[in-house]
Amino acid sequence: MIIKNKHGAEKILSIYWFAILIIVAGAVVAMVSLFYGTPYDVRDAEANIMINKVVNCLSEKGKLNQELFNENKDFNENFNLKEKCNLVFETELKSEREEYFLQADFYDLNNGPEGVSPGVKVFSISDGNFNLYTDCKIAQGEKEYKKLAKCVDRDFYSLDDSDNFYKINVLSAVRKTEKNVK
Amino acid sequence: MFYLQLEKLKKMLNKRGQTSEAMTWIVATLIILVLLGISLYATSLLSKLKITDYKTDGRTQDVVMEESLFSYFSIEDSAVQEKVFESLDKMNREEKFYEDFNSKFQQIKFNLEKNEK
Repeated sequence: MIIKNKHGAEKILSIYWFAILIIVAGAVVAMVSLFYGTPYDVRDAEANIMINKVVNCLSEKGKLNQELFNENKDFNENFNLKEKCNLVFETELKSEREEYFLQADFYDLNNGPEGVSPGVKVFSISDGNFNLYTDCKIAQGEKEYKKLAKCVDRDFYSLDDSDNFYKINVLSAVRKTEKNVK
Repeated sequence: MFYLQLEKLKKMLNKRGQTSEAMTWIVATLIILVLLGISLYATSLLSKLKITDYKTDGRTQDVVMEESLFSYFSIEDSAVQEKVFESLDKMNREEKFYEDFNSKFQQIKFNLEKNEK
């Protein structure tokens, strides 16, 4: 009787251990898939790299690109940011909308009411999906809007040929939520 | 009579022993489950940190800041230059640059002076 009872207890115990083993193994698998299944959000880096590219294209060694101006020394309205800066907006995603937006605003700091700051906006060029611009305005500084486009904007200073001084604000927005956010 | 009472007591003690043993297993199981739960929660928190921050990710060069510094050194009007420096310094204080502003400023200044000579 005692021997039979012992056998039964051992059986129950081995079933229990087996169940615990499955639970632990399942949890380990869940942890690994949770961590490695979450993609790296590289949109901030991507947006910054695009800004670097645009800055390098608009200004070189502190002087604005000559192609930004027409013969009358006015800003060239036909300046194609995407083409002139060799930007490629096509992605591997199968969506019809563009995943990028770039905008450069030029502020004249010579004739502004307060000298250097804040200046008067004299020219603006942009390319890409303009809808992402509104995403930037909604998501400004909010972490919970991670499904919206990631936006980075940076300021830099540059001179034209006549030594007129400009502040240029470059805004870069990258959506690509499917690839970067889970 | 005494024998029967002893048997009863034995059975009672045995039952208590079995209950306490079962309790040990239940508590051990609960501890395992709680630890697994904590680990899963920690993993989900860690997975949310998978964001590459361009600014703090070992940046050694800031093209945007360098461009501003080049233009600063190209300005001939000292009054404008002073105002621009104030503005750049303000941006530095607001931590808008990705590399050390002062060392880059000195480096560009030194290189430009060397080229002038």
